[in-house]
Parts: sequence; structure tokens; C-alpha cells
Amino acid sequence: MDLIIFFKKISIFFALVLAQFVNNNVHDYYVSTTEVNFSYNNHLQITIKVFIDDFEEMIQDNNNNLKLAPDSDSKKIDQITNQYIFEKLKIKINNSQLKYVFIGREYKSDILQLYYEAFLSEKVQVITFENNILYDYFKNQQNIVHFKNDKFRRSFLFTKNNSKSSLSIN
Amino acid sequence: MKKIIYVFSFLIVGSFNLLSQETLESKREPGHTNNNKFKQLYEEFSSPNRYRTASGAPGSDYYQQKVDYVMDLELDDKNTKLYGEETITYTNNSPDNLDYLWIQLDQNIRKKDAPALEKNGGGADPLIPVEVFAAKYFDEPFDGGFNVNWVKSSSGIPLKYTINNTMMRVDLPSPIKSGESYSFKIKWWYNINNHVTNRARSGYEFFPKDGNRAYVIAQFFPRLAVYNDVEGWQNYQFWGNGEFALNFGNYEVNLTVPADHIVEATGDLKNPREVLTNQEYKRYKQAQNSFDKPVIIVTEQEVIEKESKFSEKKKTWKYIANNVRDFAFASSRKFIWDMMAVKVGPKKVMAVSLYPKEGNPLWEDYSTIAVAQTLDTYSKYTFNYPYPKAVSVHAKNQGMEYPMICWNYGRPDEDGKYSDRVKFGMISVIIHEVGHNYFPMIVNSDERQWGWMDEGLDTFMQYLTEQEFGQNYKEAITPLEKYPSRRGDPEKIVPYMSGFQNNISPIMSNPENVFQLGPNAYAKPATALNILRETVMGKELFDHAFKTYSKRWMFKHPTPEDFFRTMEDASAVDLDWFWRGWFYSTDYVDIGVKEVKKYKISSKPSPEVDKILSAYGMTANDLAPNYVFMSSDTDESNSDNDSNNSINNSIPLKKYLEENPEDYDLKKNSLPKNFYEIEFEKPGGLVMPIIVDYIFKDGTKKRVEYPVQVWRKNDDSVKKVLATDKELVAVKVDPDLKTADIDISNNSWPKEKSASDFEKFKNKIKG
Repeated sequence: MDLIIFFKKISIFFALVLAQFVNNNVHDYYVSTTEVNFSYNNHLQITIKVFIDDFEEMIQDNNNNLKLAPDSDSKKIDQITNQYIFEKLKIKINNSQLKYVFIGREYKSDILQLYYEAFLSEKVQVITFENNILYDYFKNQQNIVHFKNDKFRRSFLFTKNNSKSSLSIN
Repeated sequence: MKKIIYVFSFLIVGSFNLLSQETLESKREPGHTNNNKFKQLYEEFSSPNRYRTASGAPGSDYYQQKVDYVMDLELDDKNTKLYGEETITYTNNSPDNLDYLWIQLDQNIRKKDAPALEKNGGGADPLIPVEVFAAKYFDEPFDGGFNVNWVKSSSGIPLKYTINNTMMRVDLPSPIKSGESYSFKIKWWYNINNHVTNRARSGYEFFPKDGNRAYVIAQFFPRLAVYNDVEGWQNYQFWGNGEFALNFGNYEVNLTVPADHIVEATGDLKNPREVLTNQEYKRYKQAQNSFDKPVIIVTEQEVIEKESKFSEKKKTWKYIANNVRDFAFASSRKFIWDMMAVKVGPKKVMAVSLYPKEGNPLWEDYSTIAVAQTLDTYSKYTFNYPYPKAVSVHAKNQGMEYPMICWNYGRPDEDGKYSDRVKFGMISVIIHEVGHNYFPMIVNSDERQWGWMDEGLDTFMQYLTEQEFGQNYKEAITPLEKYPSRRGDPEKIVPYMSGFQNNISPIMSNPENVFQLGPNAYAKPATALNILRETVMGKELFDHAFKTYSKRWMFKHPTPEDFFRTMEDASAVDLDWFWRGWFYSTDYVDIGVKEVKKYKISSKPSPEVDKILSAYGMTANDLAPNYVFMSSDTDESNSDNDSNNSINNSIPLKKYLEENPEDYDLKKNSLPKNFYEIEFEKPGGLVMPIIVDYIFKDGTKKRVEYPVQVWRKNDDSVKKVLATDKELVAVKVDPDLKTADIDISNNSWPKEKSASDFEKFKNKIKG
């Protein structure tokens, strides 16, 4: 049997159906990781890591002609990417929705890394994450969020039915 | 006198321990069993015996069964059916008499009512392609699985058989006694599935443009299960993940296919003259001596001409394969065929590729050379490839291995363009699947029980081969400097090993029951072996032990313990701690530097020593004059200022050195001025050697590797002293990222903030 991750894109569809005697997609494992680093100067750094072929699924669902790594049309991909991420990853600081901005993205092996940032004007007391990335494509999608500031770190595991969590910071 | 001094130092050391335990418990602590990380694996390992020795080698009573097959097969391309009649000769080399035989019917996993279809849970699909929806909710399920016509003795008497899902028991008229052979026959047929829509290891791909199919056929005939000293009959059902446990034997196969098909299969083709055209045959012969580049035997142009003509005639390809554990074949009129000769040790091996034109231009450029590189590298680290050929067949989405032949993915877009991801994915999968010839085709482990034994070892070897491929075919990887291996580098396993624990299983788990089979059975064991080789054992000891394992178990059936034991037996490196941590647990590596304290030789005892002495009603003057006092830089009482030669601070030391001038030439030897106490911490559960760089003010550095045994008695932290005449300015643990340390934020002193990917990226775009 072979190299599993390569197959995830194809496998997802067929894994749902008849697929036993499967070879590669044996255990569909769909995961994204989002690191939220809250550092000095109220600077919030957001790094989202997602498998290229998983994300390409979403991109092509919006525009069938687009391809990732290498990109067929970076501008269009950026646009679809941001529209999607802004809708699916919601961060609330205290009681207001955080507006974060796109810095850029890069590929690392079979991973796509997306970078966003925000500068906060108020003191953070409660931070709320709602992560719905790729649930609309993969029912077993899991999204991990690692939050870190100077003092401590916390990790959250989000699934389709449990996509929201808050953290009080004192 | 000496005795008294000894008693004093004992008292002092003992008192330090007392002082550090400040809270006294009123309740006695309960006892405990041995939970030391270095405890030997007696409980996990089965007892060595005469079948399998404590050294990890086959024992004096080791045996394995032999199963020979003679098969007549016919592929009905029009109706996508496969027919077979096989004669099986079973040789019972075990000491036991066998009343029945178990036979694997892998195709039955595709029966309409196969339990494997319902083995997973899962809710409603949020989004579902229309053809999948239709297949799932409207279509008749595929009518797969074996149709067994009959099972008969060699003289034609029907034998009683019972089918339990993917296993068939054949009851014998009389037991097969130890040392005896028994022949019987099975006739069967089944409907061949579409492996692209059905996600299977075997089947056909349909090409709607020309109406042709390309078949890659495996697990296609009733095969004997393994009977051995470890499992008895290995008749664990086939559920889809755990692959195969198979016997070695000889195969004679006559395979009848449409006359215009090109076939590759396990074994030597015995009748090339009969099945090839004159021109094909000429090229085929020519290829046998072409060592520098592949010879194309059937060209793309010839294939294009054939594609529209569906021959009604048949041809029979005859193969003989000796000492193989399985048989598989590929057949289509769409196949382009190339091959070249490769020198492996004293022998010649054919490296072969078979692909539809849809695989080009990628396949004609890279497939056969990837096969050749695999034979070369694997042979170097294990044993010379013993079979006459290794074939790489292109099948969409496939990556699956059989003796001498395997199916591999990697297809350009319709316009012939392909990305690096597709190219390196293809080269990697070819190396991986051809490499499986060594593990498990020849070093024949039980895949049904242990996925990692072949996948992990193979993925480890794949990494070494990819790196050598990158060195030997520089133009294939330009502009990269090294081959972009996905698995093998320690830091690549960090996301998996640092993940949520309820999503991770120990490597020593059955492949049906693990979370994330890819990292579990492929990447983690491969990385563990890589770390073992480069960091724990060293290349020389590792390579010898790995080769010993490969050679000991070549054409035999090893268990995990046979591997673990051999690696220790051939190297004199105790590795029980390594197997326990990396293979039997989900622990991870996290080692850091906690604190650095500077000490000096002092003329006076430190306050700490004073305190202990006073507890015994003594002062420093009561001590014999042969102690060296050390005090920390931060001690207020440390007023000695002679930092150039701190020896002068200790009269006893100075005197001692002067009295022994031959042993301690003060002029010649450099005398340490600075003494640093470095405390390492270990938040991670895995023990590992501590690799550390000591960096000095003058810009030099010193690499030290403390053996893993430093963690024997304290699993949380350990202190070490560095004596040097230089000034220490920084300490770095695991500076080259060789241990898969999951958190490197504690790896340096003074604390160093390593730039995150975010910061690096932001700097890059700013730059």
C-alpha cells in the first residue's frame, strides 16, 4: 500500500461510496491547523496550515479552471481564498468581530500556509474562535487552533459539530 | 583517615538530598512496579524459542510452509470477467498435522453484502458529486466477489469447503502430515471492478475516449493463508487496511488475453516469440543488453494505431516465477512498454515500465530510471535483488506492490503539462512500490497484523533512495538541491507526534485499528529508523544491523521482535528504551535547557556547605585539608577575584597538583577557569540522547552528545557540568533538529525566540 495523503483528494469522494478494498485512502484524515500568536504591540499573527489538495477542492469548486502549486492564477486564488477564510474563520475579541487582513501565502511540501494579521486596539479579555474551515467539503474535517501569547498556550480541536470556543485571558 | 573523609563526603551528599526534600509527608507513599523508561521489554516480547531465537534470527526449528501454484487464467475484456483454474501443491513443513487448510478469498471484500462495506461509521455527506450520489443511492451495488465453481482433489474428488467472508476452509479427506505435500484444484471466476471509481488495489481503468481498458490485476486468485509458529493459521479477515500474509512458492501461470494486449506479470516470460511481433521481439532482445538507457519495445505511435482495433483473437502469455509470495499482472492494448538492463551485484536485472500514453511525457522520462535507482540503493543496504526484473506499471491513483511488479500513479494533465508535485509524487511512489520487493515481498512480514513492518522499513529506505536519486539525476530535480522527500526528516514528523493524543496510536497496533494510518505505519516508523541511524546508533552500526536483519529474514517470515532483537544483537546497542518509546507508545520528544549556573573554585566553602557542616556541629576548619570548594557566581561570599587562574583560590588543589608534577603538568594542560552547571529539562515522555552545542564568547563552539542513559534515574531533568577556560555565552539543544523535538522554544539558553513562519514570511515580503 502506499502514500496516503496524495490520495485524499480523490479518496474523499469515493471513500463515501463503495470503497472497501481501498488502498490508499484507508483512513481519511482531514485536518487544518491555525496558529494564533498574540504577541507584543497587540499584534495578532494568524497562520493557517491546510493540505494543498484539500484546499484545492474548495478552490476548484468555486472556479473549476484554477490549480494550486504552481498556481494557475494567483490573483483569483487569493480572492477566493480570502472570501472563504473570512467567512469560515471568525475571531471575536471581547464582544466585537475581529477584522484581520491577508498578508500572503506560501507552499511547504504538500501544505499551504496562509498568513493573516490584525492589530488590536483594546485589551483582550475574551477571545472566541469559530472555525468552520472545510467542513462543507469533508465531513471528517478537523480543525486545530493553537493560541499562544507571552504567558501561555492553549489548543482547541474543532469539528463540524463543535466549531466554537472561547478563552478568558486575565 | 581516608575512611573518615569518605564518610564526610557521604554525609554532605546525603544532606543535600535531605535539604532538597523540604516537605515531609505524613502518609507513606505506596510502592510501584518498574516503570523505568529503560526497563527491558520482557513483558512485551514473547519468549525466544527454537523457532525464533533471542538474537532475532530464525531458530534451529524455524519452518515455513511452501505453496506452489499452476494456473490457467483467461481475461474476458469484453465482459470484464476473469476466469481461473488453479492447482495448488501445499507442502507442510510444520511439525504439526493439518486437518484443514485456510484459503484467502480477498475478492469477497467486494461482495454486495460484505461486512467490510459497513466497517466505518459516518454521517450524512455535506457535499457529494452527482455520480457518487447516484452510485450510492440509486445504482445496484457492484456484483463482486469470487464465484467458486468447485474445489477438488488432484484425482478429481470434490472437497468440502466452507466460506466465512474472505476466508475459505477446505476440509481434507485425511490430515496432511508433517513433511508431506498435498495437491488440490480450485476453479473460479469473478467480475472485475473499475478500480478508479471503486478505489481498489486491483481492477481496470476505463478510457472513454478510445473505449479501452487497462487492467492491473491482483489478489485475484484463491491464495493459501499462512500457517506458522506465531499465529497458527493467519486467518484474520481481510477488512481493507491490513494487507497480506502469504507463503513463498513457485508459480507457473498461463494467461490468455486478447491478442493485441501487452502483458507484464510476476515472473519470467517463457514464450516472448509467440506473443510478440517480430519487431517487438527484436527490441525486447536488444533491451536485455541496454545498460545505459531504456529501449522502447512498444511505442506510443504503435499503441495509438492499436487502440481502435479490438482484436477478437487470443494469445497466451506463459510465466514462471520461483520463490515468490504472490502473483499479479497488468494487461491492455494501451500499454507502451520500455525496459533497460541494470547491473545488480554480479547479476543483470531488467528495469521495466508499462504505461498508457496518458502517462506521457512523464513516464517515458522517469519511470524506468526510478526503478533502476531503487534496485541500486536497496540492494546496497539489504541484499542483491534476487529476481530477474522489476516492473513499474502506470495506473491512475494507484500505489500498490506485488512481487516484481507494482502499480503507480502520476499522470500529466491532458495537455501534457505536470507540476513538480505530480512529478515527485510519481518518482516517490515508484521508488516506494518497487522498494516493497524487499519489504515485504522478500523479507516477508505479516502485513495483516503489522502494517509498519513493511511500510515503515520501506518508507525509510525510500527516503535514502530518493536522496540518492537526487544526487544521481541532478537534472531531474533542478532547481532543487536535494530531492524533496515528504517523509524521513525528523522535523517532518513533529506535527503528527505533537498532535492530539486521542488521534494517535502506537506504531505497534493492527492497521485496521489505528488513527491516521499514513503517519502511523509509514512516516513515524521511517523517521524513527532514520533517527536511530543518524543520531542514536550511528550509520555504521545501524547499516550493519539493518543488513543483518534483511539477510537473516530474506525469503522468511519475521515478526517485530525478530527485527527489534536483531538490531540490538548485531550492534551491541541496547535499544529496548527506543522500541518502548517510539514503537509501543505515543510519547514524543521534548528536551530543553532549563538553567545555566556558573561556578568557580573558591577559597571558602559556599553558604550551602557551611549550612550542612553546621548541621553536624562542624565548621570548614574541621574538614581534612583536601577538599576543593566550589561556589556559584551568585554567592555573595564569593569574593575571590583571581579569575585568571582560579586554582590559586584553592590551596589544597594547588598543593595537590604541585605534588604530582608528572601527572599534572600545569604548564602543558589547559586548566579550566569556568565551571558551568547546565540543567536540562525533559517535558516530553521520550528519552533521547542530549545533543548540545556550547557556544563560547570567542565564537567557537563545542558539540557534546550525552548518552540517553543520563535519563535513567531522573526522567524530568538532569544536570551536567562543563569545565572550560572559555566563557560560555549560549547553549543550544538539538541544534540540527535531529530528534523530532516537538517544542524548540525551550531549546536555547539564553532564551532565543526563533522566528515563526509568519515572521519569516512577513520579513520576506517586506524585504
